[in-house]
Amino acid sequence: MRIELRKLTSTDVLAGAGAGARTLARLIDTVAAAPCPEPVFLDFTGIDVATGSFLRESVLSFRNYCRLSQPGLYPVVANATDAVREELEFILRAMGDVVVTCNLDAHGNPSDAKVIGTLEPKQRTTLLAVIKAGETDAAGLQKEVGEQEPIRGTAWNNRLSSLVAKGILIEVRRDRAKRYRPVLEGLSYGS
Amino acid sequence: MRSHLLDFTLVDDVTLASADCRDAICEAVLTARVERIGPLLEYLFQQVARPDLLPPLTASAPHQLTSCLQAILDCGRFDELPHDSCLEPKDAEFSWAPADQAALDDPRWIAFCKRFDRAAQRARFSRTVAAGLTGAFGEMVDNVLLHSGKPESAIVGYSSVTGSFEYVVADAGIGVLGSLRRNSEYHHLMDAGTALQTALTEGESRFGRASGHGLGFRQVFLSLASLQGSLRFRSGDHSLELDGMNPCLSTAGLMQRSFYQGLMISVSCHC
Repeated sequence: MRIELRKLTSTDVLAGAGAGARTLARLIDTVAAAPCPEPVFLDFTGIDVATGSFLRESVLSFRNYCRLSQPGLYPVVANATDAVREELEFILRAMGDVVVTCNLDAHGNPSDAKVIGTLEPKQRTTLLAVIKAGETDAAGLQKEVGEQEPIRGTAWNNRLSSLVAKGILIEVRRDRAKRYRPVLEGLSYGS
Repeated sequence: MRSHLLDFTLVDDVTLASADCRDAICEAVLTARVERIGPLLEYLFQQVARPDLLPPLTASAPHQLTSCLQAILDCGRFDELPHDSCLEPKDAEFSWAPADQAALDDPRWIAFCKRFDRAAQRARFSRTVAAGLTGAFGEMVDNVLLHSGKPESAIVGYSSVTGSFEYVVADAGIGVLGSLRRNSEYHHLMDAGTALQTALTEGESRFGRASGHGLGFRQVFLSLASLQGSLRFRSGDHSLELDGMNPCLSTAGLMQRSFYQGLMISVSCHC
């Protein structure tokens, strides 16, 4: 699913918490429940400025809304200019949060998928292990990185759940088991 | 021939004048040339607060800018503004600020913001810089709605000539000190000067330091990167002023002034 912010807001300058909150309401009105997990691309093409207050009240609040009320939807920021991306990184650092960004072509194909913002070291280790595995679960992580991180399966589950709550890992059901994979293929974090 | 220019120095002088010399300075104000909207709006707010001491400028000194401002004052409030969907920018324009969040979607406000953006572009600022200035303006208006406690009192304006752009956001609300002190984290603040410095620091907000708020003024400074800018923040009995290339908080000058009820932000820049 792709939502073009330029069309949704009718402006190329997105500023202020109030405008962010109104955009959040429009985003919520726009999306429908997804039967299977899927990314929602928030396409910033044509947006010259998006301030930290706007991004906090729209993008981050929408991500939180999806995690709580639309668990099949995973918001991803697409086609942000350098200026918008820098502002997003700034607010994420200030809040100790992360989101996924990417480029998105006209056919809806994502590329250059990145997690931007700040992850705690333990979450970072977990994310990188999931990225390396492609798809895994707590038992798989315990097997792969258990020597580096001697913790129990429950702790791995908690770390995986926290990354799902941030919208960077997708939780998929395989029979009775929960497995996890990055929200986009080729996702990277850091450097 | 009007000899004086209505600038912030003259506004400071007249509002601080002793009874002995007030008449002479008032006369200077009334006969001054009005070329900038910042001093004009600050004087207006001071005059409305102290009508017994300061003469009304708009009635006594008809001028393009004062007439423009008077037309807005005559409307009384945002809801009463005439419908103007024209997107062609003006040389200078004032408006009541939206009094609530819903009014931000009012076509009159959307058109005003588009004219603001286009006026900056017409003044020869690049599209990117103009968008940055418009974003900063949006943040300041948002601050009025969130923090002033009296958004219906706020007047905004812009003015552009080739190579220069100026905008103002002024309200008669509770002021920066009053707003910050609503949060117990800021109960220690005792004067408007320290409150201004605090409010302009990234991440400081009456919603609390860990709230992710307190970023609005960052956009003001970002929008002035690589520009020659002059900023004046006026609240309570202080002003905080910055001047020069890439203005930033570390170079700000804090001064004690006469009392100003609310917050006024005046930004002018040159390309």
